[in-house]
Amino acid sequence: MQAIIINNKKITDNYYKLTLNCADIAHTACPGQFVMLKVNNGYDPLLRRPFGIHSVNQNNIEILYQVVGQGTKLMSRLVPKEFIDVFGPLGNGFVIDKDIKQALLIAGGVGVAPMLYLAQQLRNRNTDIRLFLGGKNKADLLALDDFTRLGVSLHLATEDGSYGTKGLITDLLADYLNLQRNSLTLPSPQRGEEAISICDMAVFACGPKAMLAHVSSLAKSADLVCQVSLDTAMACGVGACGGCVVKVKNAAASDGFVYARVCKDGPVFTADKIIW
Amino acid sequence: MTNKPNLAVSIGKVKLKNPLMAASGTFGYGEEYSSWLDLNRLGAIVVKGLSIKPQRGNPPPRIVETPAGMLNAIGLENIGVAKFIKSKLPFLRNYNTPVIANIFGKTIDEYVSVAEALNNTSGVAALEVNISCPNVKQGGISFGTDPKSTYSVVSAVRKACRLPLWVKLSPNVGSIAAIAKSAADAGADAISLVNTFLGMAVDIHSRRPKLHNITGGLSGPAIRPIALRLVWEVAKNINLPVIGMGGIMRSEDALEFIIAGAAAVSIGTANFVNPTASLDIIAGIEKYLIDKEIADINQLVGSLRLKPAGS
Repeated sequence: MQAIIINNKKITDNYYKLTLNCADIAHTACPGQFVMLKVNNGYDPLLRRPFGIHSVNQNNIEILYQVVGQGTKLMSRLVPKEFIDVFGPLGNGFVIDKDIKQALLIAGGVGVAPMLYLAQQLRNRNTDIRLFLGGKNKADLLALDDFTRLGVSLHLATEDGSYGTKGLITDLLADYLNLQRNSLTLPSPQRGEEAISICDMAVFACGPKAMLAHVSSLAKSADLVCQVSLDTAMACGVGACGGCVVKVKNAAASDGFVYARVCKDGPVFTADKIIW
Repeated sequence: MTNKPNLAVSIGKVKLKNPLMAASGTFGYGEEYSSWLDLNRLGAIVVKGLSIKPQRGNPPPRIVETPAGMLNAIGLENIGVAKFIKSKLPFLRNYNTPVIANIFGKTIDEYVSVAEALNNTSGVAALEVNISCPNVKQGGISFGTDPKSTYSVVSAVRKACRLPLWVKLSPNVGSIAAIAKSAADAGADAISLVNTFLGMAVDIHSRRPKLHNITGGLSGPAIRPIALRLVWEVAKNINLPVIGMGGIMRSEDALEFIIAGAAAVSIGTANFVNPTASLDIIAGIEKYLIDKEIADINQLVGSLRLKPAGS
């Protein structure tokens, strides 16, 4: 369908936010789902591009994207009032367990995109939300104001130390999980706060593969349920072509794995199912 | 002209309400696209290639975009013919669109086994015998590049099966007309072409192939003029209906193939770009026929004029 562009704004450096008016998608999309955009009318690039839904505001959806190649470069030149061809929402989205008291949202760079919509939904459930966001430098840390407005606690890291803690976001997460584990041995919650036991926590992650693999192993050793949102090249986006597969564990299959389609079986997977 | 033109075509015994099919490998088992378009409006659906046993396919990366095209090396991933019959075919029977089962095997016996499994199943209108997948060592292309082995596999399937046989040819051959003739002599009811062109892409930074399989099949508008030439060559040399495909994106492209001799066309990569591409193309063909006052699409098939008008 054709959606009208409300806004296409440069945020920092190579990052942009595209706002589209498309009520059908806005009213049905779940956090973690994505849309397929055709950024041009011609044949080069030929294929659509998948983008996670960054946020939903009434009849509008927002797409947060980084200019990395030819497709996103063309996309960055789109202007308000133009039409863009979009279809979705696609994929499965995050599963939000109603019992979770604390949600840890772990993101690297533009992997933060689906986390804002997730935080918007989690906020309605009285969940303590913490965003662990990492990047190479300060310019990679996006949408911080939006998360703050939702009451999300921020844990930030940059590799060059230009903002937040210097280092990788997985280091911050590891420290935080250690702290939580140790606090379980405390006799009682302090200052009357309700204690959050580690079993009431859930981890949601999106970002580079190496980061996701590390988050997955940290979550596993802390016995936390961890969902990861994967990003791969796609052709169809609807499960027809088999172009976007990843290896997932399957004891019944030969060699113990099968290929799952990121577009249809994902993009969200339980982290310990993935063979990294 | 006020009446709507006739769009129905016949591929041998198989009647299609219009000449637009979804190409094998680009449309899953049909259901994947059923929420995006009404499958009843398609001329036919050619499902993902089926083998006797389930096949897992190649490791990723399996696709890479190229100028006006894409390379794929999916590796004929499929659920196997038995599961197709049990879990996918019942859904497709809800539609009045002919279902064409694309089949392949590593050996002639495997082709025969898949054909036998489908032979007495209701809801399959024809078999498309894939002797042309470039991405699996023995995924059929070893049969499709040689006229003798083409004859062997097609005649074996012919004997094993009552269903109409369409034989899907590879463009990666010296003389495609010779292969088509072998398929015809062996009892094919129609020829479909082309499968993808073998290609590759390299990441210059890592100096690694962009596909895990190293090479893959090129599809999309980049291949269209070559595909068109091959379809024309086969259509003028073989006395069987030809199903043309290769980078068709718009109704104008489909019309080129039909004029060059294709009795029907398949839409492949365009489905990825636009899930309703087939329907847009049907609408465009209908408009063309009305504008040109052509009452029947069949009048257009193979109507290529090799001499200038009036000469």
